Amino acid sequence: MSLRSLAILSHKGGVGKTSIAVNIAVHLAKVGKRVCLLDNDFHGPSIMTFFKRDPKVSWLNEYLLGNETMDNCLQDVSPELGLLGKLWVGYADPTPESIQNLIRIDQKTSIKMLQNLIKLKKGFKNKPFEIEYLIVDCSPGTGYSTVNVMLATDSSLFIVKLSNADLLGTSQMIAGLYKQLKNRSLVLANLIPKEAIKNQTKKEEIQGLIEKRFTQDIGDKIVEFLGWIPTDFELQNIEFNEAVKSLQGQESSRIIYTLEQPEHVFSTTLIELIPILFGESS
Amino acid sequence: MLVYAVYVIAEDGRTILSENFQSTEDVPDEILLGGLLTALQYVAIEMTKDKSEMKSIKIEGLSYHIRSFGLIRIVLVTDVPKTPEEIMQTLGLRFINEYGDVLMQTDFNLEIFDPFKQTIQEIVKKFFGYDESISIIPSKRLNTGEIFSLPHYLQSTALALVSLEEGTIKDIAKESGEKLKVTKKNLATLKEKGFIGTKEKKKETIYFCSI
Repeated sequence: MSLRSLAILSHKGGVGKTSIAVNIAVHLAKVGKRVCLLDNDFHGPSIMTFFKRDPKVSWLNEYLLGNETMDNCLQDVSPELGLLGKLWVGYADPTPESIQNLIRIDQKTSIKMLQNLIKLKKGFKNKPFEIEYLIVDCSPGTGYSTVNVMLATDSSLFIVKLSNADLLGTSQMIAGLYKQLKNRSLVLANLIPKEAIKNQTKKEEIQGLIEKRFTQDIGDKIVEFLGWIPTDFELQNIEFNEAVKSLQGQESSRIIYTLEQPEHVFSTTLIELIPILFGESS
Repeated sequence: MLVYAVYVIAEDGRTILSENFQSTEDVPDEILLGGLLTALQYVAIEMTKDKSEMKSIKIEGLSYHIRSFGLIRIVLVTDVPKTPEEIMQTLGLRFINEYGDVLMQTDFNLEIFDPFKQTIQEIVKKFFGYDESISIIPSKRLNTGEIFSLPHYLQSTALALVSLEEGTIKDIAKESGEKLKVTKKNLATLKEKGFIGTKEKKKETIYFCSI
């Protein structure tokens, strides 16, 4: 099977991009696929909050900057999570020094990082990786590192929150990028109150409006509306309680719903959308 | 290994001759370079116990290899840290052989050294197998922003070239996964836009870019 690659993008932070990236990756590996998940959000890394990072594994930044080999920057988390397939994770360095460095990267460093990203993708075709799905979580907006990922992947998934600022910003972001958009770009609305989309007629009406908003300025390019990811009080409560634990200095980890609560509405909805996301639905 | 430029610098820090092999955007101003390297050279001599000279320095990903030949220094700029000793020796000794007498004079016109540019081309061709005399140097660098601004159909070819740095049409087509005919057309467009250059090696056209 050939490698399918997906960039997960957003206009603003806090729209649940990382959570969606992690849950998609874990689900695919859970059902036996060979997956790689990269944290390319160098400005606000958070993928390591979902996994127990092996301190011996180097940061993805080091590989992209040409200071490390790819093997040393990827952690196979599948044994620990009991996954049927394979899941390799590449973590972004969360230290303030690293974030500062990557905010200041120049064009020359950026192209070297792109070069290494392409090499990484090529390397995934070989043993021991033989990756089928590459999922890359990007920084919000359109900085160098995000553009590199857009260039190196096949599809783009824009995550939006249904708030005025995010809708306007995302539609402007898509319109600004429309010449360079891939053949397949998708929009996924996240953090939608579960109650608000119960009514099918209302849901379809809003969906139509969203599609119209995102496609009005992009010429002949196609941006598909992938669907909705609902949220409920229980999900918000769990996230809140985990954050409080972390503040109190207690051990805390974020829940991977597709693994730990596959019956939750967040998981069931997302799992249904995954084949469509990769163009695999009949 | 890519050769970016060759500089001949006089003892006083003046650059008396230079020859570029890549985009001029990639190599520093020759006057500044001559002054900087000469100053650093004196600092290195002062700082080291055995008064040894600086052999190379890396600036912005490029390696500047320096060898002294009495009245002049040869500076060879490449993209790899390993010094190509033989080519530097050949360049230095040939220059001293041809212009040693001129250098002894207190005053000389720099144009007198211009024919040596041809010698540099020949020496580089001999050592690297490239015929630089018929090469076309890219006038612009391929960077993230430029690639992103390219029409979508050109991006795969540009990315393949960024990954390989140089290659034949076949190499680039294989890397991009596109057909030979499409790759050829895209390379011609990218060349026209100034992003890629060509050089001949063993009667084959090699496409390369500056990143």
